[in-house]
Amino acid sequence: MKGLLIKDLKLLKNQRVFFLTVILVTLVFVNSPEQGGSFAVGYLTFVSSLFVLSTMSYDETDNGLSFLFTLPFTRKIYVYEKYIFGLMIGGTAWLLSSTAAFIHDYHTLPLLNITDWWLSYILILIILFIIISFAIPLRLKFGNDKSRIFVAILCGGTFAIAFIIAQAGKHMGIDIEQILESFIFTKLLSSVGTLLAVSFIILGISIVVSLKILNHKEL
Amino acid sequence: MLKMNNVKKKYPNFTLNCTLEVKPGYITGLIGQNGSGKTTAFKSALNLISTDGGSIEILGKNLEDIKSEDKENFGIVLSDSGFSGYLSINDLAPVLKSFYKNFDKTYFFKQCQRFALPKQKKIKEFSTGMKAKLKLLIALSHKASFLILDEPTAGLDVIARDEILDLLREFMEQDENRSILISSHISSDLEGLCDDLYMIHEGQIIFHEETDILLSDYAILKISKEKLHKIDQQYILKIKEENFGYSCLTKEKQFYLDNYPDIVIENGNIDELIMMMIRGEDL
Repeated sequence: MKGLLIKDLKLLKNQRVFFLTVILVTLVFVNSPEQGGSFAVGYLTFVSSLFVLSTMSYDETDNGLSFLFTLPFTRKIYVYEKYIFGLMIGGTAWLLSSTAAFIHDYHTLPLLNITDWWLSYILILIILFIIISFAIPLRLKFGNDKSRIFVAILCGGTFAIAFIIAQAGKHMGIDIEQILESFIFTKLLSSVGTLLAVSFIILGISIVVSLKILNHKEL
Repeated sequence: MLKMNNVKKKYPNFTLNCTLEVKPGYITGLIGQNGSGKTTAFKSALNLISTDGGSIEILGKNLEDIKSEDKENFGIVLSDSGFSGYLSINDLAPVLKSFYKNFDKTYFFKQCQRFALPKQKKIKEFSTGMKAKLKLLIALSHKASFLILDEPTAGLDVIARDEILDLLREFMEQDENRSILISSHISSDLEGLCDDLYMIHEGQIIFHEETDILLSDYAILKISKEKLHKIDQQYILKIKEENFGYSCLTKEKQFYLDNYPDIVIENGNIDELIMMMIRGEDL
């Protein structure tokens, strides 16, 4: 596992320019007036976590997987390492950026509720778990190009469904967005707890699926 | 070290059916044309692909019982695969150190220096020869007991090939129980290195022999059509029609030398053998 993590961190060095660009874009978002902080933290967290997909592309380039799997580790360890790496990079980006956002908000917002503030930012972490849960097995199953199409379809489909539900609600005189917001923010602690538990279950299922995909893969 | 018994792998247009053994202390060669099944056989032995039958025993264990720590005893070179080209030698050293308890960093860097491999340059910028040397140095850097080398000399010039073969001889001299399974399409490399040779054709092992016997007892008889019917044909393994008459492969060179001093008898070599085994016909 340690060897794989070192390899991926070394490979990450190749993405320095892209990483700097992401940080610059994040800084632009930070200064936007509405929801700037949370959007920037989310953007940085999600984009960073997806570097795990880049390491998978590096592994696969020029049939590299065949050789890689002759090294002393198992397919199970490879799968675990990818999840750990994705969560580690995304988690580090989340921790650093949300801490920076907290320091900023703590000094600029006098009525800041610290518990609620952190709970709302933990929602970003939950979305990180879900993104990783879908991205890794899709990448393992469909490869670089096809998995992008699937992720695009998945994201588009999710937005489309949300849009249809919202529009249907509007026609029936129900403001779904407000209901969701009031539900989550009035019972923030229990909502975050439930969502966190659900995201862990999804992550667990995702790991099992990824293992199954990799175990059947011909290298 | 390795026993492959009737290992089968079926593809739509190709079936591997491989039985071979690599004994301790042996360098065993696997020869065959491109697409003959060498890489499929290697990948089966390394559990990189599933098989459709047969059994594989490696380092005295069934393949499915091989654990990560057992894999530390292997040194592997695959012809079309290696570490990511986006890494450098300096990047690889800590990676290898983490994977292999016996990784010898000093030896690794010393050999990289010997072969003039730049430590900071990305592997993708290396020449074909440099990449081949690096792959072998990685396989040799952790005191493995069994090397599995698929075309390790591919793309190398004569001098570089000789250097690599010397490295392999050094590897074997250090411990008499070490073994190597090597494939190459350059027969002269295998002739001077291997203790025994397997030939694979269209997924089937069609020939196995000790190299010494191959070089001492096998021969090609070059004879006219008329002469063919006058000689004893019981020791002729394969026959191929030529402009001058026939080429005949025999395992009893001395018999024909003693009894038919007037026919042309050429010493056996791997290239001739491949040609006769694939293109020749049974009598």
